[in-house]
Amino acid sequence: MKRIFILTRVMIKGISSADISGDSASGKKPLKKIGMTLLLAIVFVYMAGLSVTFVHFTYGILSPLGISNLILELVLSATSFVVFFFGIFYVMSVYYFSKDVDKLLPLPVKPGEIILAKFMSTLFYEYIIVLMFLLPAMIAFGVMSSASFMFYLYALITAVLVPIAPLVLASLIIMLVMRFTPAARNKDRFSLFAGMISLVLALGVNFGMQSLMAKTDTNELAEIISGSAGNISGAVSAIFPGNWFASHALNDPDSLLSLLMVFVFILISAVFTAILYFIGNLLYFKGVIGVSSSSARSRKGKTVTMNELATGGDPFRTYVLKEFRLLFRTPIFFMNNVIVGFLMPAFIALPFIVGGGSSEGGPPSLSGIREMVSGITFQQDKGIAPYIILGFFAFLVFTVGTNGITETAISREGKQAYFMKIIPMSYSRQIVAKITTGVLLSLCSAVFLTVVITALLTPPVWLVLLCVTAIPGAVLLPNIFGMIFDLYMPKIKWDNEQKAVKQNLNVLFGMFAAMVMIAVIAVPVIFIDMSFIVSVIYITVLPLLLAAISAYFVNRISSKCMLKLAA
Amino acid sequence: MISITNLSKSYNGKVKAVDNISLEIPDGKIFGFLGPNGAGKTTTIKMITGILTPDSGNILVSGHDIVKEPLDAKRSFAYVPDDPDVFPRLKGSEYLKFIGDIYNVPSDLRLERMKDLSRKFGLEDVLGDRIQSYSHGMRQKLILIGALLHDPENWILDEPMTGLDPKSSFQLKDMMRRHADDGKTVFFSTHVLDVAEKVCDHIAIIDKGRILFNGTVEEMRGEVRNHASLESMFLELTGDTEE
Repeated sequence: MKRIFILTRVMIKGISSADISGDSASGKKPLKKIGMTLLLAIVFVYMAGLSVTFVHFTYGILSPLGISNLILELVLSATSFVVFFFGIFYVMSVYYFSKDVDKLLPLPVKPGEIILAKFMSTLFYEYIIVLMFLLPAMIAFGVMSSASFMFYLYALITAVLVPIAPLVLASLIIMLVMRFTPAARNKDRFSLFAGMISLVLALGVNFGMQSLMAKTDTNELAEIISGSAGNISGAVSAIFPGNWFASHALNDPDSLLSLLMVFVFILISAVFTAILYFIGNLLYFKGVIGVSSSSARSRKGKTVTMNELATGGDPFRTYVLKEFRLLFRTPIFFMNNVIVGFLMPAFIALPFIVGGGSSEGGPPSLSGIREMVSGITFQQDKGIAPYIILGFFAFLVFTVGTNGITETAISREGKQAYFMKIIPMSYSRQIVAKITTGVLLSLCSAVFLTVVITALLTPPVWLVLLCVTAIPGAVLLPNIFGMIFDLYMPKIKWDNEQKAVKQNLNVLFGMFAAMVMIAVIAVPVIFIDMSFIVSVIYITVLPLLLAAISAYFVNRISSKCMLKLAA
Repeated sequence: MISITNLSKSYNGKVKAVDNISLEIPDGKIFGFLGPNGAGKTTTIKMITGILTPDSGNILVSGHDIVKEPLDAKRSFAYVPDDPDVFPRLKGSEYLKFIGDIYNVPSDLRLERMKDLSRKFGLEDVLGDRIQSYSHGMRQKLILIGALLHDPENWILDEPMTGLDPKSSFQLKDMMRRHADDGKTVFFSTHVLDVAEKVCDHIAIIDKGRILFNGTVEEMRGEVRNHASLESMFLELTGDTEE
């Protein structure tokens, strides 16, 4: 048992220390740690707030009907599902892609102990979900239903045990898949597949929440919640029988039967763990051999002729091409930097498409907007045109600010950052090449958005043309400004591409900067009385001016920051 | 020709990785840079190539100061790092084309050198594959080909034999010899004393950031006569400083 704990500690440390200790040119690590802690605190408060709000909201509806017990069933089922879903990803990265099995197997530990240690380190991450989501929800329920001490005791036991069964299931499924389907062992393919699934799921959840919130009739809501709670928890309890015992114990915590139910819950969790131990021994080690980040065989390229290689190209163009290739071929970068620029608008547009027009004070419907926009005429409505251009500009700036291409341009280099320092191309030129990559990709998503919006809302041509004039500023400013963050705080020490783009604070700073840019441009247009011409010129020209100032600044600091970069 | 004068570098302002060293790496010579782990070899090489900025001192590569005229200095050397991880998601061919373009290697010369080098190192058939599918040794060879593609005056190689098979290792040593015989410079670090003794014309031994020995192989042999072997001399030199 002691060995299992030691192994678990090493695995967790290996992951979390590399996560937090981002590299910075200025070496201000304490500041970064404070930033990270603050960010985590904000996320925690936000998530906990959401789940407390959910319990408060549903308790108000279901309690008068006497079916508030459904809330706990629903919350437990949702937790099991989330744990299972995240479990798939955690299990893949901790069990299969962490590359540590080769080093662990020669150690004097039993193979089963390695499996249990890996299970416990994934469980550790699942407890973060429990802490942010389940625990606040149960406490909120306890407070609202004025529960006794036993409720809180059982709630604590439940919180500890709930993630075990779904995580065991996720582990077993992945072990089976990895043991018998060699195609799944390719990390790149898995990352791309997993990324796509997450995006679809995120869109789905967003869609569901939006349509739920759009309903205002309480009875209808109660029906939906109780119906779905029944269905979902029924299905989940069939897979994880422990949940049924836990929710029944929590609903009547003071009875003797509940104590028995809690014991059964503990027993079920122990059985799940034992199953993992035995089946894991049979499946895991045979499946983990041969896992790679590449696929030597499947990516066998065509044989190149020497003449193909010998044709020379412009160094700058070649550099930009290299940036594009790495962005498109690295699944994590592709999902986070490229796809996001095309999908983010779908998230923003969702409330209008789903719930628009169905409630008072809510977002207008899509057809309503279309009617309004297509009916605009230059003579009558040019007064509101600046606001429409402003909206379009803000939409673009936010989309570009979210893609994080320039905010992670140096960070993405990782171990190869030294390469930037040995080639005979000036640092400022390399930085311009990196910004160019961001600008070109952002331009593509801006054009795509313009076409989609034009097709959806059918605005008059003059309005489309005016909106197009806002594109250069909206594309250039966030890209150039975003580069500043990565020049000052590049995160090049990573062993996993996720850390370069997903766990990089620079992306967040970029988003924040985009919001500030929107505010700087929008506030004067809204609050100062400007003529049509002046406001249009202001919206299109000021961002370009700010971009020029940023470019000047980037040019001034790029050599200095690159020299400081400890590659 | 590489010239290092009073070079120093410390990490976090405390640990002196390189402590006021001066070296003259002449044209037409193979210069071996020896030292135990953590002696300051890689830090010195990183400063010569511009990856790290020195705290003090000067480095001239083919007469160009790496700090003041970095681009001219960088054009005049090829660098092979000890860790051959480069752009795993590029194909071997794309990497070489990238290098060829960055260094402005003319098409005809590029073709000739690529053919010659990829044949010598046996990479012709895998250039269309992604680098992530290469073994350690193959990556090492690819970086070597890339480094030599622009035929620079100075070769700076950090542990270049690590991971190479005997044939490629022999090829590399042969190429180093011919490069030096053409009147150009080869500066390389190694742990392998045997290689250093057989290949180098000139040797410097560094430990704890200081140069302990700097001289020709003949001078070293003179020293070695007082010792049983080069190994015992190396151990004594680097061991003394630990006391």
